[in-house]
Amino acid sequence: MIFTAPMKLLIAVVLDKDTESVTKELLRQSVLDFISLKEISRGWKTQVSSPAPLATVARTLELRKRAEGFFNLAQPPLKLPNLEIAEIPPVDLMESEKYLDSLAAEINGIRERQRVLQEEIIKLEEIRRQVDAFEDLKSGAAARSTYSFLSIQTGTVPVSRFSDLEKSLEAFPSVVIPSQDKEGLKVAVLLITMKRDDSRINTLLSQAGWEDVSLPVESPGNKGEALREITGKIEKLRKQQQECNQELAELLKGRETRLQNLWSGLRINELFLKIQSHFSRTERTILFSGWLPAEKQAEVEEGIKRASENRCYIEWMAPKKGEAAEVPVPVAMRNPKVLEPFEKLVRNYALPEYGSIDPTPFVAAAYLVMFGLMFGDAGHGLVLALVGLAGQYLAKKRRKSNTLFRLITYCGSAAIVTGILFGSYFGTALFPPLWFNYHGIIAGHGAEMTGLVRDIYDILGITIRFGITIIGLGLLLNWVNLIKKRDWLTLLLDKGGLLGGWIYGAGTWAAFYFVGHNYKELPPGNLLFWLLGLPTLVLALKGPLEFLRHNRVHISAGEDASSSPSQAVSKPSGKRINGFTIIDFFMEWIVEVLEIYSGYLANTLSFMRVAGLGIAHVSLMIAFFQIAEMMAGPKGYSLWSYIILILGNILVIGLEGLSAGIQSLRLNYYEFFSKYFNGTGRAYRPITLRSRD
Amino acid sequence: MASPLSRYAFLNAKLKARISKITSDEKIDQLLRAKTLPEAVQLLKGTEFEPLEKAYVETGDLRMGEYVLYVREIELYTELQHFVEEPVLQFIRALSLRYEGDNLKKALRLWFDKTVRKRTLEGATGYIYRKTIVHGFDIDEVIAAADLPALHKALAGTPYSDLIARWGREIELQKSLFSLEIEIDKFFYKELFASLERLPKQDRQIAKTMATLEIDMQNIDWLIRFKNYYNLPLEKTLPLLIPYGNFKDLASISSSYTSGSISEILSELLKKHYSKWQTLLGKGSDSVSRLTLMERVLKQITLAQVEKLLGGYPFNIGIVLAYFFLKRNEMQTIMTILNAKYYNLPEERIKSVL
Repeated sequence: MIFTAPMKLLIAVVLDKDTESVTKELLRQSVLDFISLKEISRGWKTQVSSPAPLATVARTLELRKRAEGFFNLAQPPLKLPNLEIAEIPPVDLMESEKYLDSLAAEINGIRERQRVLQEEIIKLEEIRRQVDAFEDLKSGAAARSTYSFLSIQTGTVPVSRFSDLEKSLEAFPSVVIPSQDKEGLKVAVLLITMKRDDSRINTLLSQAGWEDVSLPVESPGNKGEALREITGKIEKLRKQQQECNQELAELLKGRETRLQNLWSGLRINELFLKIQSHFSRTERTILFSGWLPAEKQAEVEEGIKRASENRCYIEWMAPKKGEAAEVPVPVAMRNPKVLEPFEKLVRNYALPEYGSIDPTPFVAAAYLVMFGLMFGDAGHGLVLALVGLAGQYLAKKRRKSNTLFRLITYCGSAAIVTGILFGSYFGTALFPPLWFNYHGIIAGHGAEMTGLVRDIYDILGITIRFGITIIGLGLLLNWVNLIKKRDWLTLLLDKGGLLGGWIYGAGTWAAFYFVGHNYKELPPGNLLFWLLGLPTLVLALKGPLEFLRHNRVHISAGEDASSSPSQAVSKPSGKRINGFTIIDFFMEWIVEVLEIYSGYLANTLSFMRVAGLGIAHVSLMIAFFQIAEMMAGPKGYSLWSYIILILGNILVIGLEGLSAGIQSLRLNYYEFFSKYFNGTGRAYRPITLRSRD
Repeated sequence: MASPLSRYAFLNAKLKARISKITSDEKIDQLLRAKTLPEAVQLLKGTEFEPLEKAYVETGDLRMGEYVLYVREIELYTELQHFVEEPVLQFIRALSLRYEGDNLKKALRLWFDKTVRKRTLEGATGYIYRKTIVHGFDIDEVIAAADLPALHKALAGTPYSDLIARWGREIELQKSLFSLEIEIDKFFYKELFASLERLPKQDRQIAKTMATLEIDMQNIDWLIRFKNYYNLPLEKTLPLLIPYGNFKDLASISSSYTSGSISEILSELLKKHYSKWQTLLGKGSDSVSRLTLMERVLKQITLAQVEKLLGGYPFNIGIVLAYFFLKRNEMQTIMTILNAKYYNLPEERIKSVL
């Protein structure tokens, strides 16, 4: 957890006939981050042949992603199965593709039916628009030549033939409104159709014994009835469309098992082929190499031996040593699940260099303390924590990531703690503070308080001291990293090294001395010289010493198969120190000094924003309470007062929560990380059954 | 007048956040590789185009999805109007006239099909935008107009009624909407240039550059199509072009225009004002592929200018213009791919037109 996970480099040689079993074992283990053998030594290039390009990997991947697409087509989406590797299922890519094609064709058929229904809906909507434009339909019937979309006819049909006529008209976008009063042998009908269907409809009408008549006043002509009829038809068609969707859902549900098996087979084969794409070959053997966590070394070795029935050669290399010296080491961060949100914050910035300190636990502590100091209210913290918990529940339900909500929950919890320390509960002092009364100080009652913290300057002082602690911790972590790397020169003379720490410590002490003496007196001159002047002068040695260290040119041994990068020859480059070089050293020293003094001062003072935001938080709540009191009546708080307070609390939680979160992140990323974090790591990416890329 | 910072700070942050969400090349590749239309559409779940996916799932009709997108495109403008004040507000309103003009042209084509060509419309009006964009008129009344006087009446109270009055006779004589449609486009640009004159100086320069570029690209496109499809003589093309652009005199292209070579015409047109893009012109094998190349070149020129705007000073009208262009481009790309999937066009063919 404190450092990145130690890694080991594996080189293995197995017989060609054991390829499948070894591949299966490597896939089962799911820990190897493969590299090319050529990365270890250029000599491998001519000794082994690269594996033939595996077009099938790409095709398998494509089919797998296509299968996943069908999972997402279902409402709700079908679940991807967990992969088990008891057996490698055989996969026929052509058959798989045929199956998916046939499924796609069925789905296309359903969508096409929906589309045809949609066409009918649009035509009916057109009729509805046109009908809506009429004052009443009988006048529309007279004006049939004006509106050229619609054909409005009125007439009578024998009662016995009416239902047949109605049925045959269902095939056309139409509105049929019969008279309510079917007396005698005939029924009066108002018929609205589209003009384009005139000839076919007229045939049907004559078959049904239609007679054109002008309808009397009481006959159907009610626009509302026509519109209702059309709306009913449209709703019926929409329902049919929904049934199509249900049919699609049932189709996919019915194929779920087959699709899951297909997907599993494709995925396992894809991973299988991907592993084999990293193998190099000789006539009878295969060779492969990769990084894995050191803790898995024994397990992997035993697995390979078992899979190859001990017909293997295995070599282990430590990172940064021997032939593996130039090979980039992947970084795995092993933090407990509870720190996952903070690990994501770190990864968002960069991955730490291999072997260096994993910042995650420190970021977790620093972030939460910063947030708590800026957002110190137990009530507000409780709201945040509850929002976080609710968000986690919803995210889990929707199968989405809950990291953000977990972070919110933690921040809320930190705010609860600091709220209790400051005695702040939704902006009121419900209980006495365990540390100091933040509200009281901001409201101007500091003079009445006992204790060490009585005014805003004391609060600022707390945050400055906090900042010094964070920066000091950053420097310490940097020293640990440098000691691990054995980079002694940088450890001694860099601005983040011991000299930089000395200057920072001395500068901090001098600043406190100055403040402590009422801003009137600096420490004695000779003391200042020893504390600040001396290390500043020593810093001047950095340039020349680095020049001497780096002024050797590594000459490559060329493309010789017998050589490796570690056999590089070095000799002095012949560069000499001259006048210009000395000026360079001097300028570098000046810039470095300015950077150290101004940079450290700025970084330290930057932490005053923690106080600033905390003060803003309290001030906003004081303001809202004052507004609430202004709205109060003679008997106390009115309804408006409570509304103001509720809205005010919501605003403060939202605004200050966002500000505090962002500022905490900035302080970590800039003021903290800049002291020690070297984000040059490359991610550890083993080929694993659990990956979802 | 408010400072550029106060005018554009919020808008800049908002639009840049939206621009960062524009569909990635990776997603476009996934869409291209999808085998069928339903598979392509489901890739849009969880993206900005989810409304299209929802519309398709509900109706099975891609045109309905396209309509939903079209409505969204119009709403980009109407929505942005809430965040700006005069004179930027009236400039954005003028920009949205483009859609009003397009919508009116669609309606006029339907009217023309029904009234002049005597065709039935078969549900074609279902995909027309019916709400007011800038000027209020009833689109159904336009489509349903029985004749030119009725059409004129349907557009009463809008600037388009004057266009109908002036060009109605031409429509009847030539049995074509060609001239009227060009006049509608010209009207849009006239209004655009009128509105940008009221912008502050820096905004005015940027808007003018972009508008002139767009007009030049449009005129180039038209010139080449006039030659390729209609074989119009050069002297008849100049009155048809949109004014305000750089091409006020076409004498320099007369010989290449006469020869009919698209590459030569394009090269001559680009020579004076867009010379560095001449190198993009290759030698296509036929006029269709050359037209495709031409469209790509013109789009590249506009894209380069947009990228310049995005990389420059952020608090000016440039961010708004860049946003509109990129969003329009994005929607066109997505719809091209989906329509191609509907017609089962192969991936390579689709790529060739993107």
